[in-house]
Amino acid sequence: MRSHETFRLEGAPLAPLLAKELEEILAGRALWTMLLLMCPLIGYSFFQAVSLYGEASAAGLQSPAMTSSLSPLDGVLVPTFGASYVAVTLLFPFVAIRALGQEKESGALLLLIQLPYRSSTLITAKLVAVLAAWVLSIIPAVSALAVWRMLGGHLSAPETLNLLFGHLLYGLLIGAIALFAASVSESAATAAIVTLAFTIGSWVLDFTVAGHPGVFEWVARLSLTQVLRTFEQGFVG
Amino acid sequence: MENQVLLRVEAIDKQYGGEPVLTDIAFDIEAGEIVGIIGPNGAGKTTLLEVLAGILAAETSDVQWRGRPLPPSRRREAIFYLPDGVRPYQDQPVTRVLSFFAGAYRRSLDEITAAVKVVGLKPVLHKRVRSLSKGYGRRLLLALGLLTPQPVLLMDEPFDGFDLRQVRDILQVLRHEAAKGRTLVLAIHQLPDAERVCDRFILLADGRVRGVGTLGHLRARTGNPNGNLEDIFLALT
Repeated sequence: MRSHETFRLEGAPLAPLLAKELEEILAGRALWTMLLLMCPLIGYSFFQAVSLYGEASAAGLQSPAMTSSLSPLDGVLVPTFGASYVAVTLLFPFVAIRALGQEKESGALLLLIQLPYRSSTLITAKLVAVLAAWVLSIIPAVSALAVWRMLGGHLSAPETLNLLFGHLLYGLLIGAIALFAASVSESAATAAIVTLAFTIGSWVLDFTVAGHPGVFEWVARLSLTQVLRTFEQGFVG
Repeated sequence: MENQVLLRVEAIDKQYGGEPVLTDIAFDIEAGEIVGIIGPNGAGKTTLLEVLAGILAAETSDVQWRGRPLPPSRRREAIFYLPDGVRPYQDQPVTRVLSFFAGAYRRSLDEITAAVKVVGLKPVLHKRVRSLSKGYGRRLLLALGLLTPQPVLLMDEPFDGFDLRQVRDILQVLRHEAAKGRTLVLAIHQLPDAERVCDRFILLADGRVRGVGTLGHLRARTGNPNGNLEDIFLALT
């Protein structure tokens, strides 16, 4: 006979929850579409960066002063990861929104919130899934770095890790904004619009008011791009 | 059958935009019984179930579990709610969805197998949830409900989507579950099905409880000794 005692909500295993979140985000078309678009974008950016850097290096043979200002970070890494930045800004919200939006639209969220997990655990699991999606999305750019090394290019471990860390923070920020938008919006489409309003709005801030003095300078600092720029400059701000 | 009162609802009031949806709802649920919340569309059945489960906030939600207050944040310790029209994790195969719920509640493989067998899910175990018919989708929900350990199971329209033969099969599943000691609360608008499965009835109309009791008790109240549930419902509402 079934007991009439209440069920104690303690020690629910995390593995099933994490596995579910990862499977859900990997099953979405948005992630694979993003990767399909990122590969040629990053490949082209890397190719262009290496080409221009090669030309600058050749010109630097005649000018030692110019050579000293050349840096693989500015010449190759930042442009290559710049393509990743564009893709994450425009496409990653659709990937992150799926982590919550799909459950909201299907009604599965009503079941999920009744399971023996704290709200913080559920949110953390979704952020872990978003992080895993970001890790997948950075593979093309990291592959380009491997190619750069195979070509004999120089990579400074601290600078490279710093740049990767900056992009990780940026990706997580976009993912968090997308999850928030998915939680307050009635549909995934609305959540995508809200998120893109943040990200593209941030671009507009960056283009229009950066470099202007006074209150504009303060407003420009709110841009998400400014957050990333610190890590592109080769030091932790 | 035991007469122990498991759940006592002393007052539930819910408004949407100032309009009352549930008013002064009060009833008891006894251990091991099947209770039918009967009412037409728009009566407030789903709202009542969601407030009872602690998913939907209400202006008043005074519920006791075995004589002790059960606040909304702790309702999932005693109650699990199966909503209507939900297709969870549509890109996943049925086996994965069952595994997730079973894993969260640490259910054994034998318990999963038993749930699958009881509801007749074996033919569709490897199909994706989105490809299931309405009937099999509802069987999946029922299987998930059977895997949960809470002593009270709320089900919204459990027979929706089933033909006559399937309704009879599901009736047997529910009776078997109740015989094992589980308490079931079913929101039903199909009165013949409710009459066949429920031990007691809560008649709901316009957000108010119009009658509570067994069919015999309600017949006596309306002075209609041979009336069916439909006659009684119309007489009381």
